[in-house]
Amino acid sequence: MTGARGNVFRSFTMTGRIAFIFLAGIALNGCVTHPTTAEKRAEANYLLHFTQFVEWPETTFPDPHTPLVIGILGQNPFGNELARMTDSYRINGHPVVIRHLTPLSNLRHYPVVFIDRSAAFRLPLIFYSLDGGNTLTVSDAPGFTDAGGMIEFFIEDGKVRFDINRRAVDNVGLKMNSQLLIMAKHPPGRKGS
Amino acid sequence: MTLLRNLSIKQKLMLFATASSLLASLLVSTGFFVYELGTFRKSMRDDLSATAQIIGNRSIGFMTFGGTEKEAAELWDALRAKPHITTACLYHGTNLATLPYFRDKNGPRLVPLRPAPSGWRFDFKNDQLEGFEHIRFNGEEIGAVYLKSDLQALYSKFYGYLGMTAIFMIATLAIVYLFSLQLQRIIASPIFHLAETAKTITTRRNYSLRARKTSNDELGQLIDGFNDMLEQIQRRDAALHRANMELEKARGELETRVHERTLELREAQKAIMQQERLKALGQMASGIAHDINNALSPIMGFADLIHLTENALSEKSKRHLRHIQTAAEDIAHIVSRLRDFYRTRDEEEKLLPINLNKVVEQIIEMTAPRWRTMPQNEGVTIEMQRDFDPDLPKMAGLESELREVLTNLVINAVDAMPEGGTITVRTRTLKEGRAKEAPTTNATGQSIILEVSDTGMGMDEETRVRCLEPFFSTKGHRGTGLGLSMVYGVVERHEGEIEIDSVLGKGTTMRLIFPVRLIESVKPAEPPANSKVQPLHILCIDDEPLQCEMVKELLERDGHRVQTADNGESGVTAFRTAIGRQQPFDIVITDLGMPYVDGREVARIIKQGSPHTPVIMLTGWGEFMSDDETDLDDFDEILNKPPRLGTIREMFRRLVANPARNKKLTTEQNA
Repeated sequence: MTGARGNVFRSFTMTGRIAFIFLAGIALNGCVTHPTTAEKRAEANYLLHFTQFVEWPETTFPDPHTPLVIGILGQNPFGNELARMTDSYRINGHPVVIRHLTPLSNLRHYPVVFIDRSAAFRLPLIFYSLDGGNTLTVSDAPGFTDAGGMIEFFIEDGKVRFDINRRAVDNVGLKMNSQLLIMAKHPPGRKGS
Repeated sequence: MTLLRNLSIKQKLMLFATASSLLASLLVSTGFFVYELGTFRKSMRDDLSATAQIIGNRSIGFMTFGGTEKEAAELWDALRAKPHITTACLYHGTNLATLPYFRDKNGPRLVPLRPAPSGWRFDFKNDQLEGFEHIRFNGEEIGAVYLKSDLQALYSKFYGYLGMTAIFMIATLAIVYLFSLQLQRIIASPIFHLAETAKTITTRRNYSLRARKTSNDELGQLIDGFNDMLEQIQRRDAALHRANMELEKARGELETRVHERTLELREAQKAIMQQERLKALGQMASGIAHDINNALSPIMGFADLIHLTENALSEKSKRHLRHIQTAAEDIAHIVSRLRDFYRTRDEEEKLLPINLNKVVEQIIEMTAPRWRTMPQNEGVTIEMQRDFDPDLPKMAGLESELREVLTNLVINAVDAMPEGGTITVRTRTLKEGRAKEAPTTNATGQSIILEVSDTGMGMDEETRVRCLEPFFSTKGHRGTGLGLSMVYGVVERHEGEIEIDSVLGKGTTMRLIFPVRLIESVKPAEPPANSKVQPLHILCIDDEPLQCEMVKELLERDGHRVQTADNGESGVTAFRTAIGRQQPFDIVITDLGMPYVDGREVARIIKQGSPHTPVIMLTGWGEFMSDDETDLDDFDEILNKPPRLGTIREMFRRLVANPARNKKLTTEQNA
């Protein structure tokens, strides 16, 4: 269970680790706000589009009709918006399906897992569950990429932006389109991992 | 085209070579040019399309995740490396995704509001290349890139190519020019040589020249043909030249002959004119002689009668009678001399073979007092040279006449040299006939030439032409003017010719040319016995009673019985009456010219009635007329006036003695 998250965590000094946990607690508890509908809609749109920029391994689609399942952990921040978007959406002919998950679900079987900030406090457990798979992890929880997540949404100048933890992506063996990578940004005030 | 025709072959060859090479290289260059430009346009289009695709691919994330203006500006930064792109913009779906890119900050800022439907590519339009590249992602069209480029690169390429083509063409032209300069010599040199040869031949007219053959191609064949032609021309030229030379020679000969013939004709004309003149003079002289003889006949006749019959004349009267007779004889002599000029040869005068050299020698000796003695007495010396042809054939002639001729010529020569000089007498034989064109019978074709030359005063042209005329003399009262005319008469009677060469102050040569005729030697005629013949019965017809009376008296003196008639008609009547009485006339003497019935008519009638009765024509014309008159056959003899008794006696003797002619007469007499 020395997954990506563990490695990142271990690379911190002891002081750093204490500070990380402290700061992470502040961040996860103090910044709980209700996002605007427009922002969540953009995030839903982005989430869906991320699937286009990832080279999925063959095991993801054993069958041509096998749908791409996006799992959502925690509260669904997108409402019906995401489900509506996926209706006509196809990834290389494969339909997209949304599933609400619990941390006890077999997370490794899902190609994409969105972790709402409401479930962020369970991140260690979640990462533990995902360890050994090649699931793309996306979250709007601040500090997600620093914690070992792959893509983290944030708001800058009123627009939705995202950061990508390339190391975490590489660790699970996923390959991302460069167009996605160049669009990634670090959240203001944070250095890339 | 006229300009092209006037160019020399050299220039034409070079022009053709250069022009065709230039054209070929122009075509090739143009082909390359068009191909290169086409290729370049395509590559430009492809390049722009690729650029648009790259931009599109790079902007997929941007479009999908809605980048900021700064990110958009970064996107366009890549275009700075492609300065030919003037305008660019990005569409997401059908809407502009960012602010467009404009290369020129101050240029027009226009972009299409919407992208063209997919399928539209880049196109050249309005001096620009523009178009859309649609962006697809995972099989879906998500947007488009619009790019517009100027054509500077194309133009640079175009001008670059143009410059290169120009340089290439100029270089080609130069090389082709140099090459054709060398090449044209191969073709043009033989042609120049040929043309030069032809020109030389034309100017110098030297057809022995030949063109040099340097190749075996068509030019070689042409030169062969040219040389063959020259060969033929040369042959023809030579033939023409020869023909011209011959023609020229023939013309020269012809001219000489025409000249000679003209001279001959002129000479002949002169000779004929002189001949005609002499003939006319002969007629005149004959007429005068006739009249004088007519007048002289009674004078002499009656003087003879008186002399014979009147014995009772006083001595004084007898002396006067003798004077009359002498004077009359002198006149008769002159007239007879004149006759020597005009008379023709009497058939009875037999031509005898004569050794002319001998006769000439005799005459030279005989005239010696005249050319030697007399001049010596006056202190003048005349030399006599003899130049005789020892083989001179004998000629037929009358020696007495020839003597007279020679004497005359010698005396003339002496008279022509009052200061002395040399007389040359020359005889020669001319083998080829030179005498009159139609010589009489027995002609041998040979001629004898007798020349008498002197070194005296010579004659002028008028004298030379007229000297043969009777009574023409340069000697004043000393000459009779009958000498040379006698010579002319004698030569004419010998059917010869006279040539006179005379140069005034140098001398004269008289040349007599006689034809040589074969002739039997005849014994000299018996001397006539001047005796009477037997008495005959004679009829005498003459319209002049005095004449008739004189003849009657003369004949009756010889015992003949004579009856007279004063015209032809009465004469014929008397003749017929006599036959009727059985007392025919033995001989009839008739005058020729009478009114009504003339002598010819009388003779014709008498011969019809009695063919054997001799008819004697009594005439003052002498024998002059016998040339022209053809109807004198009826006359047996011709008795010239004045009739002399001796002549009549001889004539009667001939008529009576000739048995063939006077057979009947003799028979009758015997009966």
